[in-house]
Amino acid sequence: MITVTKVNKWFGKLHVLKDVSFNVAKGEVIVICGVSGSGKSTLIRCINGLEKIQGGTITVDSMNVHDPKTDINLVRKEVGMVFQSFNLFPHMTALENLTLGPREVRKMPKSQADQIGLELLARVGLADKAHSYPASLSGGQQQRVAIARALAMQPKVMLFDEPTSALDPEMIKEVLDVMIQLADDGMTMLVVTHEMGFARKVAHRIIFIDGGTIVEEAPPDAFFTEPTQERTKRFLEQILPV
Amino acid sequence: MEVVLRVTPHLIQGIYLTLYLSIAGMVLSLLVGFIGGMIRSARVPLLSALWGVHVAFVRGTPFLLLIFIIYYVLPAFGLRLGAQSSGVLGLVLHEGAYMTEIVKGGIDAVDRGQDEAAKALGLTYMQKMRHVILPQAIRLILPPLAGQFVLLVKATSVVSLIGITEVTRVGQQLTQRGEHTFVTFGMVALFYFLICYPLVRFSDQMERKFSKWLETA
Ligand SMILES: Nc1ncnc2c1ncn2[C@@H]1O[C@H](COP(=O)(O)OP(=O)(O)OP(=O)(O)O)[C@@H](O)[C@H]1O
Ligand SMILES: [Mg+2]
Repeated sequence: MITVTKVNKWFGKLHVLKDVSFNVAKGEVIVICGVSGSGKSTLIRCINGLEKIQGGTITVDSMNVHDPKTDINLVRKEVGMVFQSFNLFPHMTALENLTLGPREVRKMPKSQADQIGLELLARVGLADKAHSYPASLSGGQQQRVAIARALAMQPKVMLFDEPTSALDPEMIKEVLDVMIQLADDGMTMLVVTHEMGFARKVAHRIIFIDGGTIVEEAPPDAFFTEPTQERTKRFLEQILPV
Repeated sequence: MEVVLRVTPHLIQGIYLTLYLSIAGMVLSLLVGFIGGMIRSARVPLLSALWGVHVAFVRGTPFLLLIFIIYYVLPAFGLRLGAQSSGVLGLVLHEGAYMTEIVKGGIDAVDRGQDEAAKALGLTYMQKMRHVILPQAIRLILPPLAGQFVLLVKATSVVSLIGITEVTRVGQQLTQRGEHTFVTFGMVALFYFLICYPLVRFSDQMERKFSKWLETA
């Protein structure tokens, strides 16, 4: 579903991604972890073209994302994204946030978009918040609306960039539960997160990235119990409770 | 009272022209302001830089000079415009430049995450602007824009200097013919005030409302 091949990315002189390669099969859930500044956000932002790359190729559903001939909006139609800071549209209700994409991009009639939107809000447990504005929702509720907004486009892939990092601890679970359900439903997911419980439970593979390079890539069991790289061990010691 | 009755029909002629200049100027400079603001904010190569030069020119030179250039210099390059068209073009280039900066400021002030979320959904640039960015930017844009409209209405009096008999010019002609100066110019002033003051109030109110919104956000 996603192929990332020898991707290189610079911010000016700063080499942020170095020869990064990996593949994601349909239905796979990949967790990406690493310390702050290691390039996790940049990597997933390259996948839907929010960042440009200077070397290598990325394909999504056989579309070459960074080929100038590719209509980037065709890629983005198929790739949902959830941000750390939710980024809901504050001047729209929850339901309007969900239906904007389907109506404008997929040219769906309002009645159909509303129906799908309401079903999705119910699925993330917010059926009663359809007509609420983001400012009146808690952080956890906002992030669930943001997930539903991305799902409303019926994407083939979902990208998550630290979706729970901006949340109060008591709200993290409600968001993770939605993501776990999504994974169980077979969604292809690429998740940047420090929630190792989530990684252990639903990830098919964990990618550890450091200094813009993939250091370790392994299924959760192997990743947590027998990491092969020194740097991975150090990282795990830092983030896992002893 | 007699004076008032005598000068009113003449002033109305001038008012008619002033309103024409104001309304044409507003509509067109608004258009220029929004298109220019989007071009500047999106940093469209070349166009953005060229418009930037124009903005700098407008900011750094008197409005009257721009009017003179359009009316007296452009014909040397084969572009001959009538006095009224020159007046409107001058107003649009002048006010449009300021409105461009107002619109750009409003767009740039919208959180970057909004832009990214809209793009990530696959919205085109125009869809993103229309549904996500401008509705949020408009709160910032509206108060200074209303203020700019006031300046535009007042600036229409300057174009009398290329022979357009808008209301100020009419007032001047009337007094030169011996009409009572205080009454005549008093009526001219009242006209401008009635047009401009509501805009000033509107601008202030929007400003206050917006700053409250900022505080609570
Ligand atoms: N727009 C930008 N311009 C310049 N440098 C940038 C930009 N975005 C990110 N960087 C730099 O690139 C590097 C990687 O950033 P990135 O945001 O991908 O890291 P991250 O792994 O997501 O970190 P975090 O855990 O803090 O979110 C950092 O050194 C960062 O400062
Ligand atoms: Mg990040």
